[in-house]
Amino acid sequence: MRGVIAAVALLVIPIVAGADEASGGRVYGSSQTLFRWYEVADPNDPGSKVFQVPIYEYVTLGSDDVGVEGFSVHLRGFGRVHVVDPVAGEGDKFQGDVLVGTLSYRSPTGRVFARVGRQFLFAGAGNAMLLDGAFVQGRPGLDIEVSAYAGYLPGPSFEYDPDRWAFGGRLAYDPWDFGRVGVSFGGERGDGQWARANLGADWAFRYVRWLDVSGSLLVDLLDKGTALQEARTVASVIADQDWRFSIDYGMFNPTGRLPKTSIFTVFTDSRYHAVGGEVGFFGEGMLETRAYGRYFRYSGESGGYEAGARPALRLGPERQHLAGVEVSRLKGPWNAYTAIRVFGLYRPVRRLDLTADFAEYLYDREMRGDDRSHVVVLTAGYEVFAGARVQADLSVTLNPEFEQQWVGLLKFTFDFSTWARPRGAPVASAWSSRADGGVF
Amino acid sequence: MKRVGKGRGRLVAGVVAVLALVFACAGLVRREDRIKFSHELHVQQQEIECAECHGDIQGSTRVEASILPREAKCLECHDKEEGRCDQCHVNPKEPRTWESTRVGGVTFSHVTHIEVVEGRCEECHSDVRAARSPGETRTPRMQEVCMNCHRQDFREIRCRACHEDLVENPVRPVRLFSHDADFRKRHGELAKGDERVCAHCHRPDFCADCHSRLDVLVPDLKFSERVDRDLPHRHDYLTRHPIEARADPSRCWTCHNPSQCNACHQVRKAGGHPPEWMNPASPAFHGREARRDIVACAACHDQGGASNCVRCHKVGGPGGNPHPPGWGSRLDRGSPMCRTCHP
Repeated sequence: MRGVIAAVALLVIPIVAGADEASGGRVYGSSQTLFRWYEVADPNDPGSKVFQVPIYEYVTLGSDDVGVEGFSVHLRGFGRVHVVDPVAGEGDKFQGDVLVGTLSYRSPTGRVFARVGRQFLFAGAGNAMLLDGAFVQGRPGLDIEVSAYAGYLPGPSFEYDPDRWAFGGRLAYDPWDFGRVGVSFGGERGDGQWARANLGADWAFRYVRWLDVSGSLLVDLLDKGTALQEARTVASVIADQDWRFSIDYGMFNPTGRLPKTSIFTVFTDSRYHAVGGEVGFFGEGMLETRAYGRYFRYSGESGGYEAGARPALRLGPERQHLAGVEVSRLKGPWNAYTAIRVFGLYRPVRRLDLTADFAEYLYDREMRGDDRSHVVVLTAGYEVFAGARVQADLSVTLNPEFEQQWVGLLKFTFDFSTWARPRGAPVASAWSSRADGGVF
Repeated sequence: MKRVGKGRGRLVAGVVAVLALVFACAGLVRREDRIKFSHELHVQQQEIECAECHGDIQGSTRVEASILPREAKCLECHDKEEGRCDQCHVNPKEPRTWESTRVGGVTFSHVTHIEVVEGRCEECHSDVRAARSPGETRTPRMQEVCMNCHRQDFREIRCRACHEDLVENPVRPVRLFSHDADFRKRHGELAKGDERVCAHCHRPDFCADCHSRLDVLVPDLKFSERVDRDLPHRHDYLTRHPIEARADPSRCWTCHNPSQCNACHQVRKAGGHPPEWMNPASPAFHGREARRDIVACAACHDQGGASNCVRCHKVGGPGGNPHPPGWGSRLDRGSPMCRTCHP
């Protein structure tokens, strides 16, 4: 299967390369190259540390309206090679695969949409899935929307398992103006058995512009005991120009996430509830802030909670600088932590940005002998020319063994789209939406 | 080996010093050049018609820098003194030309719109008469101006009628698509049914940047410069993930399967159980934790019928019947799961 995906990916390249700008097609692409080096404990000498130096490469390539109007191709893949790695085995030296690779078609009226390849799929109440397969969607009329999908589910290391596949569909009433409501089915087969079968409903309403309600409900068809697998809903109020309020509720059944082919489904009947709210202020002035709180109720146990606030100031004549503080606390069933974070962004000139990010974590119960830890990240980025950016990071963080480690990173980003962009056309900046004030 | 706590004071002081230095420099670095120009003076006080300076706008069919008046237009009334760039430029040492200004990718024809408003520029540029500097003049805002006529386009999400390409030329999301405040909490629910709406501005791999459970880099590493974003897996997430995963495991399930945890917890033998894990009298007894979050157990121990749980959890065994009250299964009694205990 991996060979098939690679072949499709190679086919995409000449298709994209052949796209003709003059005929209305549009080509885009980008690459990200990251050099990292970080300290890890030496497995041969626990008293000392050694460096690992991996290089990561991400490539995106695609085109809209390629060949025939409505056809689009999109490819994103990554590769990693450990240049220096005294820890990992030989088998871990190279890794890489296609993250997303699709060929899609959208009819001129937008009534039909189809997509094949490796794709992220949102098909109703279930969570997003990565699927090697096909997805079709149609709007036959009367604001009805119908969609269906089928394909294989890649494993944790992109491995292909012909016995693990999924299919499903969704029927929705979607009049755009008022929101939408849909019902969906999702099935998954594994080892010749039903691994998962869900019936779901999803909804989103915005009949009035100041109120937005969305949510979903998922029923496990294979479980008689705890059939209600998940329920989520969020109500958000746009109080005025600058204020937002929202409340949310969720109920989750852990077993629902296990395939029914797992023997662990027989060991539990628990579920938990989460109720919370958020408030945000995002005005045209310097101040923006966000605060949130959420309570978790676990079955048969005392509850947990999370709470936090993040005020920040946008400074400078074009609001291009940022300075903020974040204070948060999370309490789970067996431990809790309080985090204090200070962060800043400084853009002395248009192409240069400097950031600093410091966080201190205070634990209620010691984690591997320490009741606090800290993280410092400094970055400096410079846009060398339109579409090309270089960045250097230096950070002090913690490794999984709770030991302090120094981490460095060099990142090069290059946007090929500049090659294909019509002469004189504008170039996007990562900060254009804020720093330029935006069109809106 | 240096423990985390050592040298913390110096580190904190260093970070504070760097932050202070960075922001202190704000006042020392030059500001980019701007043109000194007051619409209030020219339009309101001098009563000069818009078309006197913006004559080319009458034939303009797209938004571009060239529709702004050139220096020659100013010199029709003003004298230019050699060496006195500060007459018009805020930063005379490095004067900038208008051509270097970036323009958002908006499809807009002044020709068409001037006809609709019958030449009344203030229908869209309502605040321009009082502006005392170019910085005070704003491009007409979508929700305040464009929506007066284009509300139906907006509702039907025909973004490309006006926006050449929102992927290449992102704009700050407008109210309906506001990404501020609680949007991170809501975005999953919205995307479940409105993927096409997201696709107007985001390419297919945008979701993958954060949600790809198969990617080798977490979002915080890929976008370390975005301190303004609420990225998942921020900082040394690995050290805190046991707390977060137990507090709200549904967040993990959004992207991760239990089998993914194997990479560390089984292969590297990371984690482990607290003391008194097997003591039923202890609050740390494994039964309580398993009932609450069996997915965490399955992350390491789920090896099908050979799982070590059924060694004890069987009728007659120390763990007893593993099925909770009211438990029922639609699995075929001949399935491998059932046959582990019910041959």
